[in-house]
Amino acid sequence: MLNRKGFIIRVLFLICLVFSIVATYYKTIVLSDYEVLTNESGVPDLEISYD
Amino acid sequence: MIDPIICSWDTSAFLLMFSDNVSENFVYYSHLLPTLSALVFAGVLLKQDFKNRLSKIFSLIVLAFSGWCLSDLILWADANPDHIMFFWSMLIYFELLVYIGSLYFIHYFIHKKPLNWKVELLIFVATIPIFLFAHTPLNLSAFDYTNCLKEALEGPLVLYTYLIEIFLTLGIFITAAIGIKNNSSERTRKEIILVSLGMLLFLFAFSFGNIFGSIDTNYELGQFGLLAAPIFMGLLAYISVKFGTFHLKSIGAEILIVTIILLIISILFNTKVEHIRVIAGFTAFVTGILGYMLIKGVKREIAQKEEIERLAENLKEANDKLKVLDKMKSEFVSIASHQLRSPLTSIRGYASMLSEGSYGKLTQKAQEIIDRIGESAKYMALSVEDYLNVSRIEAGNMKYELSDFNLRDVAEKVTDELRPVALKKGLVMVFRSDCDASCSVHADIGKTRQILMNLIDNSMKYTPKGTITVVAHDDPKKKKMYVTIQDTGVGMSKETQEEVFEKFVRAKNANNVNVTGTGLGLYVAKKMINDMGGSVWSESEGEGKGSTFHIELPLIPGKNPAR
Repeated sequence: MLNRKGFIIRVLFLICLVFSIVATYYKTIVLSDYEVLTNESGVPDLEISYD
Repeated sequence: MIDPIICSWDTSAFLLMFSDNVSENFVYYSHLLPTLSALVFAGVLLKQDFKNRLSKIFSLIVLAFSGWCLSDLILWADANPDHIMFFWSMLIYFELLVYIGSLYFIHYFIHKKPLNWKVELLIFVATIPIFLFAHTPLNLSAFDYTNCLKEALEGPLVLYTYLIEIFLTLGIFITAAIGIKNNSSERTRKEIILVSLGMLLFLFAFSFGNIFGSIDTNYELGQFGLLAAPIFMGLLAYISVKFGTFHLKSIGAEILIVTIILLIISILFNTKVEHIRVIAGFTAFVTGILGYMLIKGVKREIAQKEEIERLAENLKEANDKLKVLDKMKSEFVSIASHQLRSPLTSIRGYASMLSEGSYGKLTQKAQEIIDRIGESAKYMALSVEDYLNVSRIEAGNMKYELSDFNLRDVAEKVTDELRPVALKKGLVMVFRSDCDASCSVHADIGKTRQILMNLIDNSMKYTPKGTITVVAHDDPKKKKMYVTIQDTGVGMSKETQEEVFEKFVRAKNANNVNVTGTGLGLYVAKKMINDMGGSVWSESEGEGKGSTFHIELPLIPGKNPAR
């Protein structure tokens, strides 16, 4: 009984994981649906700084 | 609109992982070396013992870790913002799997069973927000095109993931602490400490780089954290060899060879000088061949060692069984002998009474038969007594009542008692004494008498004609007292002399003189005399040249007990 509960939880976990990965893939790769942060000029700074 | 040309990004990444965007070869070194070594280790584990659950959990950790490394490498190499956003999102899944797998591994390693379903449910519930919001701006809020670093901006979900990771690390720590506390075996505790420490160090190094990178946006530090993976692999290799955790064979040699080859191959990445690449390639090839031979040799030696251990274990088991059987045999002999003794006493008693005429005068023929019955019963009683003595000696139940007495007197009395029997056989029996001191010894008088009877009787049996000389003498300097029984009988070969005091051994020429015996008398005599701190040995110049038996007991100086 205990093992069955554990097994069900693991299966649910895997299903959620797969769905979440697929959703992320669809949103980023397929739809490219994410915000792009740019400077006001639209041109990125070429200076590299970690500050 | 993102324009890769402005930032001079190389958009033609090979396998998403190899491009000019990676300016430092160290990035390949820090990502590919741990990935390859971890995958090789997991592969070896599964190949050796596919059904081992611990190997499977470990392989899951390795796969998640490899997925993280490769995703991170893509972030360095690829310039496509879609790919960067996707693989950056993937990092939290892989991290989560590494941590959950690690907790599962430690728990299974210590308790040999899966996590409690309630704990699993708790972990599942805690991870649901990650599954729900990983694709939303809560995870990655935007792609940062304000500079050319090709980075995503992380949202609060990443911090939430780190919080779960901290709790999982705490879970590993508590599981290990409970395992160490509850385990009484020093060896197992040591094993748990090493495995848990290796795991925690690995997770700490792995997370330190990520968390620090997320806060400081300097992701170069994380490279060093990844290098902790081979260290952890090395630790696991050491543990598996030392404790046989994964029941692996030759894993130490295999890991060593693979690591050396990977290190040599890494030179190929780090040098642009052609002839050094050729030398490195050739060295890796030769190392591979030699390594293969080394691993084969190690495997063969381990197999031989295991075979020897198995045989030793079988031998030990067989020995234990034999000991039990021997004890049972001694007990059986003891019980059987006791049961035989009582009826024998009756037979001897009635035979003696019949012989003496207590039930009327017998015919000459009947008298002879009754005398034979008496003789046979006497011989049988002596044999039973020998068996009883052997079983007492082997069970460690022989009791000795030690006292001081004059050995010369005892030897003389025994000789006198047996002289009529010797005369009946046509033998001459002589007793001589040559004592300078007290002739006293500290021993069991009854047992000493029995030993002397045995030895003199033995000499009479093996002497068809001639003389038996019993000599009692001492050596005050050596503090020893001796009784020597010399006969002119059948004698002994060298071989017989060596084994005559062993159980059930009789002289090879015993049958020539028609002597009956159990082969236990001398064995019992030797055991008894040894237990009393003395020794007994025999001498003979060969077959047909007579034998001499010596008894030696510690002399008590100055004392002369009443005779």
